[in-house]
Amino acid sequence: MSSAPTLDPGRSILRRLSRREYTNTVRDLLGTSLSPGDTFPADAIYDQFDRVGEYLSFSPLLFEVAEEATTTLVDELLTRPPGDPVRALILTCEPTMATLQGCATEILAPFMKRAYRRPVSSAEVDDRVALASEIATSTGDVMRGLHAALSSVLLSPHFLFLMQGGDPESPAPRPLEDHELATRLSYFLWSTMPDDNLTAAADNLTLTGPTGAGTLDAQIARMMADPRSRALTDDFAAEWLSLDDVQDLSPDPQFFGTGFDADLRAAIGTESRLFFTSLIDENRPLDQLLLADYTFANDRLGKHYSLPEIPPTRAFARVSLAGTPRLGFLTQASFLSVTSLPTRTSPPRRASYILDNITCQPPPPPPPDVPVLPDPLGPGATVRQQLESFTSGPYCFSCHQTLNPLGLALDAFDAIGAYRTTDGLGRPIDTTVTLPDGTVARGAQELARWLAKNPQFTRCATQHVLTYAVGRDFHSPEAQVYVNGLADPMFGAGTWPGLLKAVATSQAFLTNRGEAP
Amino acid sequence: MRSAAVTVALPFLPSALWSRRAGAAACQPPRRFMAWFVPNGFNMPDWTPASTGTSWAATPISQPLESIRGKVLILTGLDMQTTAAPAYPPGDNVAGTGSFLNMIPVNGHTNDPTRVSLDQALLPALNPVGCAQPRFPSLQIGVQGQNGLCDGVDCGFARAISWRDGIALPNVTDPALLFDKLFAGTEAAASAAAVASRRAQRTSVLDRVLADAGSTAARLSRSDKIKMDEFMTSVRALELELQASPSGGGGSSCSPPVRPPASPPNNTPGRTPGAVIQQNVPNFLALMKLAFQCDLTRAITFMMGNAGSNNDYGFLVGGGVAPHHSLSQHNGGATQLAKLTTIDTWEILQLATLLKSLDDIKEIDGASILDHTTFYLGSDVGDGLAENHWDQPVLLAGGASGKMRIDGRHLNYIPSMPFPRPLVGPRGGPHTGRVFLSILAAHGLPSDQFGEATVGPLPELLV
Repeated sequence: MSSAPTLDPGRSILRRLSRREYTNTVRDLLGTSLSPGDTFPADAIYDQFDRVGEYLSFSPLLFEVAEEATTTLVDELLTRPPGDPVRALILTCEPTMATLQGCATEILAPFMKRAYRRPVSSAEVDDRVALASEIATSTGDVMRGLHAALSSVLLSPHFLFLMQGGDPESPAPRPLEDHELATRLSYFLWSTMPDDNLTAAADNLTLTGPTGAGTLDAQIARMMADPRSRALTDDFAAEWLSLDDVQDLSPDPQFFGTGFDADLRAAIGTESRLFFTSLIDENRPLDQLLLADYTFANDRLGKHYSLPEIPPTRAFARVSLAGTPRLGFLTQASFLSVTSLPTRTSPPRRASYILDNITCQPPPPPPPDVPVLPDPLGPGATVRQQLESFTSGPYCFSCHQTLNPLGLALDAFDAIGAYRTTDGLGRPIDTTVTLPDGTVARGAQELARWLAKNPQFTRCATQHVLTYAVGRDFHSPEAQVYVNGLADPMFGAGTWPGLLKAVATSQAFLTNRGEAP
Repeated sequence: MRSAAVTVALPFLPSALWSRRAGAAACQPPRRFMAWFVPNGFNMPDWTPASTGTSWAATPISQPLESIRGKVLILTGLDMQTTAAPAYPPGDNVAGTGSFLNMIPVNGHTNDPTRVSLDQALLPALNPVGCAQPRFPSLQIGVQGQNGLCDGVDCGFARAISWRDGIALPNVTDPALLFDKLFAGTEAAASAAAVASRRAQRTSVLDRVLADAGSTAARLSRSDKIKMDEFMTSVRALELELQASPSGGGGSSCSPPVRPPASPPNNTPGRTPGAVIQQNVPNFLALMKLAFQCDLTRAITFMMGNAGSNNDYGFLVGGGVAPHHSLSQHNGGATQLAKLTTIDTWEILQLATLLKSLDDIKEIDGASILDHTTFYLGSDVGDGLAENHWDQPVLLAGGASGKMRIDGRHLNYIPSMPFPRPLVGPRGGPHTGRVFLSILAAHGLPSDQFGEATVGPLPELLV
């Protein structure tokens, strides 16, 4: 709550569930192990995330696929045999034609409350019971009636969209109501619907009201300790740090041969996920993202990194980076490879990733028609020489004076993240650079230390967590002031769990506003 | 049937379904349009005919079109470099793909509600009021599944070419799902009564869903309502499909084929495994032909890959991994260029296969389906290395119902330019969007402007 009350951090608009959230939610609501979200058309990514409301749209195809998914999910539920524990949880009675009215009400009232993530009125329930009766009567099949009612809940906008709260027509921020807050909290920390415990807290109005002092904090602590908080790695960090892009790597076999295989691809992704999870679970300071002197490796990755002690099996273990050229996330193969081309490293791409995701100071776009270095680079000058001579004109240099050193400091790691001292043609690699403020950095470790000292890193991490937590961007000047107000007290001292909690208790998270009609 | 509680603004609807009973003879045979996107350009020297007119010699890549060359038209030297200007983000591929069929730049227009693609703009002419309506106003189909390469902008710019009112219409990427969409409920085994009952049940569910959406209006702000309108439009589109007869509005007779196998796993970002391409493309071709033949739709967009596609064409070029975009950064290497020519030729062979299959089906006036179709093929860039947004491959095909001069010619607007093309073109050729203006004119639609394209149709394309 570090912002002045007059500062407007912005407004979250109505947004639908992302594919990932949909899959997680139906898993918890229906006990399914299907992943129907995987069949949905891809979600739009904005500011790295697939949950920025303004960019998440509905299309006829998406609705069609959602309708198919709904049918599959309800079929699965209703074909479970009576006595099956998942079925018993939702079908608390087995309807017959004679008992349909009462039984459907008994089933639908709690189901709709869970699906809509809020209390439901009896009129809402009655409407769906009427649908069940209508279909049961016209088809003579009581289960088809129930099927239709359950399907209509899963296709309802009350289920598919997250209501964001606030007075829609007033630009004044208003505190979220308890169930709105529970929903926001649950999708932030777990990427899924609230569980019974959180719902009960919302039912008792203890999340927002004075009677519940400490309840919100206690819920945050409880939820962070729950395994579902792995979503902070698998959803938040995977998107922020482009970890999913590891699946997409296509290093050119002409250049990397068997150096890159399925085992290494899998290991690269696992390393960064285990690493990010450890930052949260071990209450690590924010700057450990850049400065941790440990990582996680198995035998394959340990060999790839030429670690002094290579783990003996396919199982991952924590390993020390002492005595190696590596330090923190920027020396992990996931970052190093997703920013590379199939045949070689691209220092400007690595730099632009850092400016976008680590310091939130994205470079202005290059002019149209800008030529690029060929890929693969022919013999002759080194990447560094070609890049520096290519971008030496004043027009290019205005940006590349920042881009080149950030990227070239990391160039001792090749396009798949292996350490090297010479390039493919045997020429030594020079990673000593002069950073924009005149600091001389010799390689990746000194670059990481320089970045960690920049308050902009804390602000950038905060901005990404906020964007993810409330589903909107924080680009406006006022929003930037807001981000800084929340981030700056954490500079130097904040921890990952501390940041997550600070966001979950911030005004931007606890309130929403409308807009003039 | 629809709840009176629905008060959110009425979303866009295609021409009135209720008029489908009309089916007047004047409406037959229907006119059709298809846009076909190939990613990463072509190896242009192996595509571009050396001479103009109708007697040009076949090139390596155009070879598969030989048996049907009287019904195609190749255009060289068109120019959209002002419209497809990249901004990093997006880079060249997404800038070219995002504006491909709508001629509005991505750069500076990432949220432009006026973005409409040519297929959608043609719908009033393809599905005219007062005539029988196809079950699907338009279909969007693509080979590539999910793709991580959105290049910093809405992924729609990389993964879709069909746009309506600023919304990207995503592709169906699994032939089995496309089959279900086109033919579900038409199996001979399913009795008419069962089909009708199932349809009534789904409609009742959708009515409830629409009523729910309407009931939220009081709690929504101005921008929330835009999101809810999108949702309601999507629900209504499905309702319309359910209401329309599964056998379509008429035209040539057809019977549903065997359901194709489901696609092999195809969710690797940025890459389509070769097995997916080999299995799915022939099935897509068969279903697209049927969709036209059965008059299930009259507008199709097809993407052979997403922007910057790394479709793996190892199966064409001697095994191993051959990612298309990586290969297209050929750096002038003869081996890589030869592989690109092989891929490009295969892409044209797929097109030629579909064109020929449509030319084999005669309609009630004795002309073929192809004669009543207008095809447009193009790419995001010209050459994969330069990534130039002028002199991209452009091909028209079909008869446009006799309204266009698609007669085997090669038209070259930059006849004296040598290869390789520079990145920045001479800015001499006509804007690529003027081809769209010509197509619009041939359909009796306003043709003075489309996106950034002005000046009007190219007279040499019109009858």
